[in-house]
Amino acid sequence: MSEQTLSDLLGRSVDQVPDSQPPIAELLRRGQATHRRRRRAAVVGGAVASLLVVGALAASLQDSDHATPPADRPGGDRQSSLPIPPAGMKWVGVDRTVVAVPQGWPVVPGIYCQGPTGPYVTITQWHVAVGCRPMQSPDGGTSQDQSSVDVEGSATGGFTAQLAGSEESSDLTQGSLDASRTTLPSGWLTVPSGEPYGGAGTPTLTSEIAALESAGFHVVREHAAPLNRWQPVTTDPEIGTPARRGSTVVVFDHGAAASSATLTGQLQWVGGPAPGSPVAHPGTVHVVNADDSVDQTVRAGDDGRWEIYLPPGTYRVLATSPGYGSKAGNFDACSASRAITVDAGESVAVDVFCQLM
Amino acid sequence: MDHDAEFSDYAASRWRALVRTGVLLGCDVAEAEDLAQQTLLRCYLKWSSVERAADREAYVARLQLNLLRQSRRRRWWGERATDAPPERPTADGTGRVDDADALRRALGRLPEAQRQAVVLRHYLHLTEQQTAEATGVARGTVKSRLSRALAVLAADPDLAVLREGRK
Repeated sequence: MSEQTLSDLLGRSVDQVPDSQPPIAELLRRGQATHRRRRRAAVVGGAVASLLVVGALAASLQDSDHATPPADRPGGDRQSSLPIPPAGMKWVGVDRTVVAVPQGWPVVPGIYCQGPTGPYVTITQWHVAVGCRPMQSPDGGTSQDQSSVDVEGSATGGFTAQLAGSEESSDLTQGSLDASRTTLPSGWLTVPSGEPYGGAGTPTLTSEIAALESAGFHVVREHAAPLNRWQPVTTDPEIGTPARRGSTVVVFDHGAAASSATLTGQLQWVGGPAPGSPVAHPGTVHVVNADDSVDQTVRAGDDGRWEIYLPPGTYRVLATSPGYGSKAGNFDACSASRAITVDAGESVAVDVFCQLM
Repeated sequence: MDHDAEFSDYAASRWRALVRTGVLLGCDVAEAEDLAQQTLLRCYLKWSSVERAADREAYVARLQLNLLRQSRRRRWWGERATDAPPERPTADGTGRVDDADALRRALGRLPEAQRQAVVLRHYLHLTEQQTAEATGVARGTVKSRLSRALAVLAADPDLAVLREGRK
């Protein structure tokens, strides 16, 4: 079947779907109400956090002999102490918004409740689902999670919470999660989840390091034994849990063979109406091998620099830079001059050029 | 133009496509309208992210797919297996409805991931890279999903009748 035929069939098949009016007034009303609710929650959360901070400060002043700030904590600012989670719980969230979840539940990023058999928390750059727990379906297979709370909206600082399914199967309830919602003090940030491909999927070594560095953390990379198929990369502190801004996060690479080679380089614009030296430029670099079995993307910074970890092999290196080809839907408008071969343990430098005519 | 006005324009322009995408992803019309409404509400709440998104269509498609996943997770609890498939509404006898039904049945036989790739790529006309971003997989995975899906659809007897035209 040709692609054009399929497109035609898809279009024809929904021709008969009745047209309805978009409920814009209702959407605006609900959206505005949610914004108001979030602002109120933020005020209450801030007040609770302030009380906790004041309490912690008072306690630390009473015991000033032991108040020396840890060496790894820039500033050692006592006024930005982390609120203490309830007993047996830990904070997990996105950006500075966290909820309390059981200490023993691992954070498994980017898998949308289709991972381990035990309960866990899943997380993306903008979303947390708490309480994923694959269930036995009537036909004997495993089905979806039974209860989850979604924490979203890192970009806006607010979030919505929803609890689906039976509450009997979990100690967590909508109320307990709502009550635990907390905004971290200004000196704290949750360890980001670095999903590749526009913010979804399991983080790779490359994407996790990029996310951490983008959030201002100092990164130390270490090799580690394979863990499970859902977590090629873990961190300490754990992804989604609070860490001091600017502190050190250790990234454990559990798939060392799959990331033992390194490609690095710079994205540059060349040519144009006033040709001269190439100009470094930000953009997105895309590295792919011949059969598409390895396909990774990384952002080049403002200085055009990028770095990506891969299995040994031969790769085409492509890129998109803002305004260059992307409006026309051409996501691989820029490229390196030739395919690049890189061996295990080797780091190869390759520059990528966007040729302006 | 203020936030609400920009959002209103966007919602009005995207409503029809969102509803129809929902139908092609397996919702009935009422569910598809609910899904479109939820998607637009998320857009409203995250409007600054929508505006800043490097690729707005891929970003909104991802929101819609995530909400669809969530709604199906919840809906599972209200459903139980039966010995026989549930009765479905029959076509009303017109050729156009038959055609639509045939295509939706053919799409329904595809694995969910392949179905999503087909709808995003060939109905919404997203690029492979946009489809990859919306579905959270590599571009190569999108390619292989589309390739397998097209092979399955090409062999589907109901669709063969459609392609050749009804006698």
